[in-house]
Amino acid sequence: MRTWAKVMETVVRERRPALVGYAYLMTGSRVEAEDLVQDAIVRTFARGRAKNSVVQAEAYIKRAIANEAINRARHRMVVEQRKPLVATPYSVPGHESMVSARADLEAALEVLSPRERAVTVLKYVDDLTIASIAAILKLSDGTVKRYLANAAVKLREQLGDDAVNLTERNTVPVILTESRP
Amino acid sequence: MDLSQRLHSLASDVGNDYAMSAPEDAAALIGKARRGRMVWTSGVGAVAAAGAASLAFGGPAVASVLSGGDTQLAPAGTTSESTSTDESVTTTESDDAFETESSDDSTPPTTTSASAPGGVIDLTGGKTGEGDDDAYDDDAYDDDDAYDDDDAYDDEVEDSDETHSDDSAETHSDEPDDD
Repeated sequence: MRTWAKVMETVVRERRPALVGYAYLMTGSRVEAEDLVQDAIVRTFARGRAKNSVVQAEAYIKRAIANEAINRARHRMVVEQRKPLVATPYSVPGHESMVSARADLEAALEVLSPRERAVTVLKYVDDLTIASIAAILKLSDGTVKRYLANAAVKLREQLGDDAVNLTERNTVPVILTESRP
Repeated sequence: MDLSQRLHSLASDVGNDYAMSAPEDAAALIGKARRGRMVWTSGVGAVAAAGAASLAFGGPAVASVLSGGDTQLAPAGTTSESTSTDESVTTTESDDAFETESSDDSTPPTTTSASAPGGVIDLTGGKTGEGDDDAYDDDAYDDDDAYDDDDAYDDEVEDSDETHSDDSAETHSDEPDDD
């Protein structure tokens, strides 16, 4: 079996749940996350990319997921704009989701725009730098910073002031100890 | 718990939920990707074949007509009547696939150019995608796994001889040391 085929099988059989979880952060929909992952895997390996290692392939698939999630969300927004304004929401959150521990975070993520959501995931989940995020999403550094700042404001409104700290990764905790006698 | 941890936790929860109820479609997904790769490489191979054929025959012939000379189909690289055409042909000849096949540095460039027509004419053999590494190791080259391509070739080389790298370029660069 060829190297890329081995990598593909490993990704599909072992890394797919993690990728679905990652895609869920981008989309907020389990069904769409599954579809997104499947599409990203097929595209990645069908075009002969990222075939040397599982890590490399997974990184490439994650980038594909981020970009495709934005594209789909923007397409969905265009479609929504053309629907009648009286259209009812296609789903109503159930009681169990309202009481779950992650409901508030999911609700907060729903407030973000697609790009704000993507940069937030890339920043706080993948721990990427501003420059890396800008390269992946083909944006300028300043634009990424602006999206991050906007996302932080929205998330604070939803989750509280302590939920998001943009400088938390740049600070070093200082432990004050008793001085010498 | 900061935002990063919460996001990780959420992704992990969703991933675990999915793993618990994941459909048994891994084989179908793998097959879909394989078919997609086969289609993609077929397209790349066709484009490469058309480009190489035009460079090998169309280029010199057209150039010969334009310059008023005889219109004869000459192998690529052997005619030097048209400078612009020869430059493009030379670019095609410097592909990695050719270097892999003729790993000896003592081989003059004309030897590799002589192999160009063979690669172009043999449309059914899958050699049309020589210029593209991905196209060269694709399913278009073999319908099933029985005919392994360059990835398998790389593995064999790596296993059989530790001194040779699986990268053809590195193998190529190692050769001058023997001199």
